[in-house]
Amino acid sequence: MVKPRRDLALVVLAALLACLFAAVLPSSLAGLRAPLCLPLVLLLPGYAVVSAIFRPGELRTAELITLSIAVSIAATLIVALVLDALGVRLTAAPWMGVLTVLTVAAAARGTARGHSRSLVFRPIPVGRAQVGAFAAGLALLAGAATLGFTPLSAPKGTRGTSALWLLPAPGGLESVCVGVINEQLHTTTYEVTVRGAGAPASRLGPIVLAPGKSWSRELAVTPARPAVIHAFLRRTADPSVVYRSVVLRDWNIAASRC
Amino acid sequence: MTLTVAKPAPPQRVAEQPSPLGWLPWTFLAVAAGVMVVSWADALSRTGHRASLLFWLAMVLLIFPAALRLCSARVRSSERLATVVLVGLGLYAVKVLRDPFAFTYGDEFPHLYNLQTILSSGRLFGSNSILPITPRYPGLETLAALIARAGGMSPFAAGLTSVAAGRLLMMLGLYLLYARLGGSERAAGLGALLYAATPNFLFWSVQFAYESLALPLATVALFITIRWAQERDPALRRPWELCFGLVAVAVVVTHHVSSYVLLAYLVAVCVIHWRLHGRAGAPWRLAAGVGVATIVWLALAGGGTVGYLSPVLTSALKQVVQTLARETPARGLFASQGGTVVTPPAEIVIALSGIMLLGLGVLVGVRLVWQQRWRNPLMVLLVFCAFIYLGTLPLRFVPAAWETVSRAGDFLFIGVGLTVALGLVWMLERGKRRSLRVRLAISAAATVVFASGVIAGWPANERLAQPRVIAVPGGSLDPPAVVAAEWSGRRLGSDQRVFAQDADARFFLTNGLQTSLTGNFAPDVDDMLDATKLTPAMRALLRGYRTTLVVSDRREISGDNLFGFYFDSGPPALSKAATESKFDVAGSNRLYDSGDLVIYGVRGLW
Repeated sequence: MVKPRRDLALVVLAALLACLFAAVLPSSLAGLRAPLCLPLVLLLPGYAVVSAIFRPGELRTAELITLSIAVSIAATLIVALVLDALGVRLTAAPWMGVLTVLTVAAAARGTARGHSRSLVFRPIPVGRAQVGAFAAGLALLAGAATLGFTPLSAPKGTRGTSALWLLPAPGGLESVCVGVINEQLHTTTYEVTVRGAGAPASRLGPIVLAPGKSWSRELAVTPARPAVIHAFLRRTADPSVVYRSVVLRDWNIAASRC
Repeated sequence: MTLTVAKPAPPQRVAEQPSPLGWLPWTFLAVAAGVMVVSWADALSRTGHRASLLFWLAMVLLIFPAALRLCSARVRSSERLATVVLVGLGLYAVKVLRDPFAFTYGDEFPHLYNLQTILSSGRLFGSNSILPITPRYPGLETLAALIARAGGMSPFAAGLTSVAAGRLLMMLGLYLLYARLGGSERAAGLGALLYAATPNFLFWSVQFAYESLALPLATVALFITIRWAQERDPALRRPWELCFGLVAVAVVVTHHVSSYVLLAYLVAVCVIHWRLHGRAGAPWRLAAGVGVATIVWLALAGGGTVGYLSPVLTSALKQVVQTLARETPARGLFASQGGTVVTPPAEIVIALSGIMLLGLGVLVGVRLVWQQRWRNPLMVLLVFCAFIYLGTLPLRFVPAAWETVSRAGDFLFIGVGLTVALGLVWMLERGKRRSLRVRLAISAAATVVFASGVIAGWPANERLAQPRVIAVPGGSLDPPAVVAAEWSGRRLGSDQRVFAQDADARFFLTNGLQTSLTGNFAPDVDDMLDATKLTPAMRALLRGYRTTLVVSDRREISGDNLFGFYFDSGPPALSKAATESKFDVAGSNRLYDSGDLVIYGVRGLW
């Protein structure tokens, strides 16, 4: 692989690789895709455009970085507006393709204007204590993120609940969908009763659901619609109490899926 | 010729070169420690414990060491800038760790929905039933959409990344602007740090909403204006004009108010320049460019903006007049939305001390600018803004004006940061003999001013994380309203029109992808949901808006845009049972029952 020796060559290479990776890497690899592809959104087009329009050495490094980010964001938005106005769907391919073309073209102009800078990295003298401080800081940030992004147990007094639902089945004239969602903080056992007017009740259960889990069934109902259908939810721990109840009176709505 | 042989010099100890990093590793460590402490405080808060002292310890760790370093005279420019950026991003982490699983601010939901719409349809300018104006200014969501597409990230992660880019840009832009205007890197660092004392800086300004990107872009546009003005040759001004044009367009398509404020700033700079230096050399072209872009955008896309903003502004103005005439009661300071005082007395003392210190700093800075006859038009404007900021503080007593004043503070504080920083640098240079003491005092004062901004900006019981997602054996749980909203999308499709209380409506918008309607005006959903009887007028309203679902949530907190997005701890305050049972009539379907929250199918009531 050719090692770029000038900043704008590196910009072009990074833009092409970002475009390529966005096309070939699956979304499930976001941890890899994001650092490789996001510079094409947030940095590279602006860097190339700024290099193309300013005289070499006119900007301080901080100014160059700031303008690169701001112009990259502006370029992203303007490209999106133009694509949308042309009726192009804003998927990754056209969007990143145009940004890559813009970056390459601007980098070529910048190089022609003599803006390209050689890539010379001078090592920064860093003491052991400084390395230690950086390492400790990174460890603290990792700890903060791990703790922060981990769901924790509920505060004392948090109430769990359970949901019962009832819908006409999709496309079905004589069946309903009934379901239970367990939002209790512990595993719970339920019984569901479905009853149509003048028909014997259907008892479903015991239904054992872990927290966050759900259950659903499609049930034939007699007589056929437009019957009024009631469903009741009881917890087996307290079977005498109707915990939740739902009713279908008017079959003007239907489940898209059971 | 004599040859003298020099005596070999004794080996000298080579003086150790100071690292160009300076104190940066230690500042980084302090910021990281602050982030760790706030994460710990959030974890305690999420599990039902009090942790406000830890929160304040984190704030001190984030601000005080950085302020102390920035007060120092012998610091490289790169270290100052890196310190400012570190603090800005560290403070952003405070907001991220408060809401690590989902967006929970009322305005974040409509913007998240816009992002979801762009990702699903591939088109801009969709519709939004809760904040209809937001899709007309799609800058933030467009950036987030490309971040999501390019990085393979979730909409939530892409939203966080785009706001982080905005925060980074804000710190860079402020530093460069202040450095150019004040001519002092020391003032630039201190000014950018002091800007963090804006009451909205810690939480509101980094929510996933359009201003969080537009304000940083506008700040960069102001910096470009200064650089443009410093070039005399028209040929050298052209690159700056091009950059300005690109950034200004980005502002205009991202946020209405930010573009109007940018235009107002530029026009004011032109007028001041005209008064001080004559017509030539003023940024007329830049102002005209922003003006034209704003008008074109209003005509092409943002047509509803005037109708959206005018009621807010007229109501604020009306209430100011009424409050002055004592026709309406003044708003209680340090009170929550419902008027209940939740700010601890110690925090009230700190807040008032911070405001006094800030006022003092502004006066010192203004005196300095006046004495030194600084005649840069933008500098004059920003100093004037600092005065206006102090002048707007009494308007916080006016209920309807409070929000407008609070938001205007984000723009006016750009002037406060610079003015106070110039005053501080003057004090530091006068107090050279007692340098460390002066630096410590100023750093402590900066921390108090920052704390006063935090106290004024966000209620005490809302600064730390609430239980939005809780761990259970085998997984995690979302609040019941989220589960209900997701159920609606999964089982009924995303073509339902839903009446719901404020917080629930937002979940149905983003988690159910439904057309959610809420509020007390056009349509008056709140009054319908709070009523105990179903009237013919309500049926007409349901018919008029072609409503298919009504979400009856008896928890009074479901109407609260600050607290309504979390699990309840303990029994919640409930409205009367009849507010729900009024829908149990012929023609309606009781489709979903999770206790306090019931979803009715109401097409039969039309």
